Amino acid sequence: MHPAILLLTDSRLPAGGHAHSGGVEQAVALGLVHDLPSLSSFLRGRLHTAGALAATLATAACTFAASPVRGEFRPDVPRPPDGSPPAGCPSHPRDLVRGEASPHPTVSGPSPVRGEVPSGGSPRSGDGTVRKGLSRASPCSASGTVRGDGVSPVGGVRFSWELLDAEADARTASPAQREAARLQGRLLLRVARRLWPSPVLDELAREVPSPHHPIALGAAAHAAGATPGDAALAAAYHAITGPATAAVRLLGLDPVAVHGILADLTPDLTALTEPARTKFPKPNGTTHPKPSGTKAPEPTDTGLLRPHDIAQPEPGATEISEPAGSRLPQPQETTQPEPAAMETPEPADAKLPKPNEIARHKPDAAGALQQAEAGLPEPRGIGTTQLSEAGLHERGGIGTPEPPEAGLHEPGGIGTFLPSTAGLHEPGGFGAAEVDGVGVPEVDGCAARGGCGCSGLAGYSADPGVEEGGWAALGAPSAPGLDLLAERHAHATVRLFVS
Amino acid sequence: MGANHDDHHHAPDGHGRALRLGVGGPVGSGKTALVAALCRALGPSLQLGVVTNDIYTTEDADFLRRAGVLDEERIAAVETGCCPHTAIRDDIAANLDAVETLEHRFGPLDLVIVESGGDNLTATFSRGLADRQIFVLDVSGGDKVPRKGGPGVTAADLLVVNKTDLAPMVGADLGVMDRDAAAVRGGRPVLFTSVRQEPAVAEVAAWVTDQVKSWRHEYA
Repeated sequence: MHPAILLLTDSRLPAGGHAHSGGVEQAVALGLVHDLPSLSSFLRGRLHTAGALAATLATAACTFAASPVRGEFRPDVPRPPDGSPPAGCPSHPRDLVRGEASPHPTVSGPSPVRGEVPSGGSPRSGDGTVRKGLSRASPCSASGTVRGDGVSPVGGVRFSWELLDAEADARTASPAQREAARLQGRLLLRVARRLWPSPVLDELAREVPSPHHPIALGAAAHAAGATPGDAALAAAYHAITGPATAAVRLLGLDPVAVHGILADLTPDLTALTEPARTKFPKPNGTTHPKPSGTKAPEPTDTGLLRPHDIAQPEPGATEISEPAGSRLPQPQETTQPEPAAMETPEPADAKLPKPNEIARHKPDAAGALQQAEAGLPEPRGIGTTQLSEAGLHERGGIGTPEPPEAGLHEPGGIGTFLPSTAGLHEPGGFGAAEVDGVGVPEVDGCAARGGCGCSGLAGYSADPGVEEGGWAALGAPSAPGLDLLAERHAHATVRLFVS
Repeated sequence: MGANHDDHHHAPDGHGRALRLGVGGPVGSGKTALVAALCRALGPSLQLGVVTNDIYTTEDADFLRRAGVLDEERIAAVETGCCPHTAIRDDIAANLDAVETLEHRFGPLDLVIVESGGDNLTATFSRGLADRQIFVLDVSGGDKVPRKGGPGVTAADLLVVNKTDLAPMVGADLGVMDRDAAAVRGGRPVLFTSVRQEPAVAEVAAWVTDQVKSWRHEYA
């Protein structure tokens, strides 16, 4: 681990984190977190949802910071034939923003998706458009599907920070959480630019002045010379330590006991970020996975930061989710990293995946069966079953709602803070989304398919139907764009995390 | 490569920006009333911005907006969570962000006042956030307070002892406070006010005006 990561994760870093509770304040206000056991559940659930998402995005941002494709326009990225939402999806939020559709788009057809979206007709993931207006009003990074505005009618996508940042937006359904995440990202970026002046950070600040926190974190980690795996660990760590200390203050809990909870979660942190650390053992993007796999072990090409792998590894299910001929290696390669291989890239980190943890990643027939029974085309992202087990009361998103007025007490904050276990994967998740203040009615597609983008980990499915139901319906950035990133510059992390 | 100047992430030095004046002090000592009075006194001659700090609310900002002492858009509220002193001393990011946002929107400004949340005697502003700071006490805490010292009392550029009209009622000896404050402040000024009785706060306003002038002279 690069020492700079210690600075980036230190609560004393003057980046404004002390004012945020990571959602625990609202949980306390609702009586959902009131003692050590309930806090433990909250933190475990948060780590495996918001933490995993943040780690994923931080990894992607850190690799993107070193990627030569930044700013590159790719006109060959496909888009839907007519630029309209895929069948079965509500009107595109873009249209809402542009005032070309009813503010309350109707769902064309009964309860779309749920396995019914045709996958062959339209290009994967709909268009190449960064949806607009969820929280910002800057020009589309991707273009081509918005006709009549002078943009290429052919389609295309520009690999930009905005595009990556939009990934975070699309996975953070709560406006309050997006706002909080952006505030924290802006403050972190401010500090990082002072500590590690870098053209990349300047570029990020120009392009997205208020990036989501994990985007800023990943970029800062890069500027500081740390690895994407470091960034992943920092993001996951950040996701639980903030709420933990907030709970100490809010509830007067024994701080040692609370740190005991955090200590108990360290194996989860290790497992959650192990793929990122093994896949990107060196900083500066110099270790793009090589097909031959010369020095770095290539065991973790799948499921990077897939929390369900921790609790219920299911490489079988992974197989299901990944179409034949995809760029993904076979699950067997990925889920059983060999300890010896792990040691080669970075001895210090190599100690992290302990044998017992590796064992936990071995194929688990029961887990696969569970997935199969659920009738889902892929592992259900964060894992609905884990939500139940964890008693997760918090929604996805890195956003750590601010103290009352600014975040938690506003409708979006509360609305996204579901006391039930249904949270992430039910339509209400997307129902909470807004586009320029206009609520987007339930988008059944992604949710019903387990491809709920708001949770962050399932939005990108290898199944085209899910992609279109989820991403395109929310106006999220193009999956092909990210896929291209993945193919070319190791951004497989993003795609694979969320597959 | 330094910070860009095409956005509002300023370099930390003082060139090309407003003087940042911190106003701190214990809960209820009259910080917000003093800030309102300064806005009234200085608003006609200076371009002002105000940042308030409260724990969970925007109480102080709302007070100032209601008071109508300043265009309400020039009053920004920072919510500090559980740690008011942290937000002005250890982790100033949110306040810096608010200050720079004000300057970005309304600049060039002459003066940005940052009012801390009510705190205790140890609260001081980071020099990374405030170029000058006023610490506000009131007499009702007892005339022993200046003698107790603490960084706010000893190190603030200006110590204001407010609510002097209450001194007879709480048995506070203003002479003792003046003497004790002088003893621990190494010659830095102390001013006695009753903002309620003298809302013009002429002496404090004059001190602030002098600070703005010297700031301009140094960094214009």
